[in-house]
Amino acid sequence: MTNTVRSLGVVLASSALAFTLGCCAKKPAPAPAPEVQAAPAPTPVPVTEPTPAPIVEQAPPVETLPDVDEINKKGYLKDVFFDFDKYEIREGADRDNLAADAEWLKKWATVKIRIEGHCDERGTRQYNLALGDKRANAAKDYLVSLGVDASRIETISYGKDRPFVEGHNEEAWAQNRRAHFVVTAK
Amino acid sequence: MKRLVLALAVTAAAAAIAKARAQEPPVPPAPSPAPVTQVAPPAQPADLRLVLTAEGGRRIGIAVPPALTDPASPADPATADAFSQALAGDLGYSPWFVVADPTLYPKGFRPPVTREDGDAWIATGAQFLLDTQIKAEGGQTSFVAQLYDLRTLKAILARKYLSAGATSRRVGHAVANDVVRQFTGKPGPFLTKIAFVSSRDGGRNKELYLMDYDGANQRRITYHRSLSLSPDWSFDGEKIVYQSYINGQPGLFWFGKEGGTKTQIPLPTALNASPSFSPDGKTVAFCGSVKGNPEIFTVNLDGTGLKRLTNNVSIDSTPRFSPNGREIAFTSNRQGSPQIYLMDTEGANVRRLTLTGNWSDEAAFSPDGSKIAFACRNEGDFQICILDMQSGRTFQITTGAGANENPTWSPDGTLIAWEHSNGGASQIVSAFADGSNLRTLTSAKDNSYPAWARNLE
Repeated sequence: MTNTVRSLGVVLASSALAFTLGCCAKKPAPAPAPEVQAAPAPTPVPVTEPTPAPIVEQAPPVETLPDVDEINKKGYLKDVFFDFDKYEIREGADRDNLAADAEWLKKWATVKIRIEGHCDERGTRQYNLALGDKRANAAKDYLVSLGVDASRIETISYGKDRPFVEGHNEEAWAQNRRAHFVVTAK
Repeated sequence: MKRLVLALAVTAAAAAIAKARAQEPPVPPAPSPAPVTQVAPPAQPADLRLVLTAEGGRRIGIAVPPALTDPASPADPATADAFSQALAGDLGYSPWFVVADPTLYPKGFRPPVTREDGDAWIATGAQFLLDTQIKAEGGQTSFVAQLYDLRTLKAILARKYLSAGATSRRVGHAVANDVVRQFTGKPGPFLTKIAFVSSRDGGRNKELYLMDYDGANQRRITYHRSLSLSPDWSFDGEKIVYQSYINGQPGLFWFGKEGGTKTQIPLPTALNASPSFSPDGKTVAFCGSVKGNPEIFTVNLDGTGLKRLTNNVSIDSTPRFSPNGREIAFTSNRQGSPQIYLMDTEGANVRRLTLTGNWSDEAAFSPDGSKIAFACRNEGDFQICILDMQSGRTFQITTGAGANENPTWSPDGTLIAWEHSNGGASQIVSAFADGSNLRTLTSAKDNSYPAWARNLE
């Protein structure tokens, strides 16, 4: 699967390149010179030529990712959330988010990520370290089941010792029962 | 020079306090039998509830007036005050004693020589008087402590202590230890230390700290600028093992003396949480993750002899060696909610210990192995519970608002420390083993993972 994705990426990149080259190749090689001399030239040629040119310029060329820091700030990857004392991936939004994460990771095949397991402060510290490990790995396993290469995913558990958000209320607890995605390399 | 100098090193870390048997008052070799029989035996409680809720009537009344200074060679008043406060504070925080109300102390009548002297002190509710004197002596400070039985008017303990560079607080702790030893046969917890984790240095980092049993002398012992958690002491008090994220992924580290080199235990596992020393100090049990599944392992300090003790798709966490080294308590959700189990050190004979509540974790064996303190939860916040291993009965020793966890026993088994939070930062508190006499030991930022050293002196 990964190889297919990679090959596809290469094909797309190659065709984009070919298209770019092809369009330029149609132009007469010394571009400015003929323009100046163009006055007497046959009219149909200049008319047809400008039409494809703006299309090529407007079409987004090869997409690129910003710096790793910028990627993490922009939040391309969606985190997943858990019920109290649970590490199962819930039906609905969390699975949809993971599916979108998997697609994104397959599109950007060189990206590496770390999944951080967090827990809310109402559990015990020691067990929460294990629970955070289970949560991070549940998210990892789900991505792997959707075709993301396991070697691209590192996991770490912070239990409740480095909470994602500070706070001592329901909202903070819900925010901290999460597997948080961090891009570590692009 | 007839004096017999015992010269005991009070702890390996601090300056030794030279103990000398005072010449002046003759020391009876053994205490009178009466006070001994009045003390509930500490080791084998016939009835847990009785011991855990020791009533005031069963505790020994003791008067601890401030030390007298010798007018001929007076000691520094601050030194005398620190000594007296530490001593009275220690005995006032011991389940064996009730310190008589100082406002009732008579002026004079020290030492108690006549019946009238004795009765003046008995009127305060005391059965014993701890009479102390301080004087400057050859560049040092000398402390003489005499413990009088107010009925017989005899000193059942008389000792002289030389500061020898130790703080007067420390000498006060040493005297208090000897007074407890006089009645129970073993010293009190007054010279013991507690390791803990604090976020007081700012940011999201947590470092290891040490403090005295009463919260004094808090000092930092790691400088990793990372997350360092879950310290545990070797039984001889020489080593600490802990978890740290200093290299990114969490690993286990250990060191010997305070300030000693931190050595990482090489491990193939992830997570590497909740280390617990075996009693012989050679092996550490810990929670390691294999392919995303937390299991219990043991490993030697050099990384050899790695042994996996659990094999279960559920969470297995928080291993704790029993004091006899033959068993390991741990937490597992293999039957649904997190509960505490026991197994032998080969991973066999797994049986469930906690049967109630929806979350039990952080088992802590009492020093004699007869009880387990743990974080327990039914509804709402975590409390501290104690399971009596023989009867199987569980007692909850905390009540009220706020969460409690990570209990740890003082090495004499009389006190328990844990972390408490009530809608904010967590702080380390201590109390008698029945949960009474709660006091807060920390206040700066967030403090957690208390681990009481297991050696008494």
